[in-house]
Amino acid sequence: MASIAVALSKDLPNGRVMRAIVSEQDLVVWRSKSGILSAWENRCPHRGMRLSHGFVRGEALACMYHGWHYDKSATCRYIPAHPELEPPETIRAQEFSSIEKGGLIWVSVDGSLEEPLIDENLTPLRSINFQCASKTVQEVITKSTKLAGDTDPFNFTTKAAGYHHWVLFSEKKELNLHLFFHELPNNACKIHALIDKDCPAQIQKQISRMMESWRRSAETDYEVSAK
Amino acid sequence: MSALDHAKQYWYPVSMLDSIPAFPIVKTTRVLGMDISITRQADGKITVMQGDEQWQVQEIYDHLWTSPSEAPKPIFDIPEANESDRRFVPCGLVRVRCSPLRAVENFLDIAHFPFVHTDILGSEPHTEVEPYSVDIDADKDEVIATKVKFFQPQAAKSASDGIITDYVYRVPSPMNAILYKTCPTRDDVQDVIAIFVQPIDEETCDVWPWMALYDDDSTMADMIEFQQLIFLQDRSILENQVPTKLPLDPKMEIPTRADLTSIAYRRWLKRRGALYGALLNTSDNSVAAE
Repeated sequence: MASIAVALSKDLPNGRVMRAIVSEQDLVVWRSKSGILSAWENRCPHRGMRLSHGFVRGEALACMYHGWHYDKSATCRYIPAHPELEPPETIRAQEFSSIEKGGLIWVSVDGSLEEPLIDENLTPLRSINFQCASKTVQEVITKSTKLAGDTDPFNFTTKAAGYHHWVLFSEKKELNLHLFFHELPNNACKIHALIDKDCPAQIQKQISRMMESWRRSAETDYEVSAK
Repeated sequence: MSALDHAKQYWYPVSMLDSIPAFPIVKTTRVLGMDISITRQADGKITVMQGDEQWQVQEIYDHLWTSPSEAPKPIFDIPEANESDRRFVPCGLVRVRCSPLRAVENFLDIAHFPFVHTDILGSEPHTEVEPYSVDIDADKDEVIATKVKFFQPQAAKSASDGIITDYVYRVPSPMNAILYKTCPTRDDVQDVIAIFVQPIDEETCDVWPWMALYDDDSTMADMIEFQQLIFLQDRSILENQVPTKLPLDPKMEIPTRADLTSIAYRRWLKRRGALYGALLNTSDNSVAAE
């Protein structure tokens, strides 16, 4: 299953916490004040509280329920109810592998974090949520790249279509658009998109709008096929 | 005995008495996964029907209680409910998507006050939980926690300053809990706050907070609003605990000394077979994302 892109790096600033789901595994992904990234099971070992509701205190993540602090090694270091106590080393959140590459945050939940190969000429564009499965979105993209014209002013063609990673190419603009699919439970998904570094801001905006039109089509198609 | 059969032996709150509509309007709700209808008959008598079956009812502690059993265990006693100089405040209900047992356990917990009820029932740096005592009352078979103390910035609507609040907790039945705490305006008496939990099913409950206070100044609306705020803050926790059911296997969630009441509560549930809304084994564990 390897590594899955769960967010753009810039969407998780220092000192912030987010929730991510990879293959049904609920995760907390957070960045310490100094910028260290961690991805853990989204569950405090004390009373099961989702750690994604917690808050960053310096280099530690504090659970929202009882304020227990976990450091970057996922080990509990402080229990506010017993300020003098040194918590046993056995109190730990479950860690998963995470890495940042190409402006994306990658997580692996099966222990096999392969370093993703990302073209160095790319820059992060945006993440976008869909209320439908990635397969539906992929069908919409295929359809729209074939139609060209209004839905795709750039005449994108599909250069590569892996399970999680698609590359679209516009000959007209000599532009590469990389799409990383992130499947979520309950018929939902995200796309994390990267684009050539030299792509002008105006074109980036247009492409961002094109992705929103995919979303309108994909979510409508899904509703139709669900009925 | 199955978890459901065990749960059927108890009384459950299903409405505040003053919100049962006049005849012939029927109020519907759910208990232990079973749909019931509540009707105030033309003669004023209240009936509860589950399909064709009529359930027993009783009116006590400002709520209507019912039970699917023909011979339910007697309802627990709250002697303070007879003290006529108290103000009795049924607070309405808070619907929570969690096990009824998680709701009770949270009610017994003080260590979360500074983090969840910040600047009301607790505040940093006053986070320490001093040692306290937990026992099982042999006569009543209740969990009792005593000598619980905690610093509170605003212990009640009537409190004007921070005080060290003393607490006593009682768990008289699996889905009900009562606390006795320092009354901010009088030294000689204690305020009483209870939660009566209506199990909609194993993973959903309606919590009915009820208070019996010495507070001559606050309006009813203010007191209810105060308690509703506290429970809405609790709900943000309760709906984000995984798993949704209460794990009774001590390996699944790690307690500390501050959790003595919770530990005793979980053991007491397990010993009496009160497993509705509980997870007995690690193998039942399902902590996957929803």
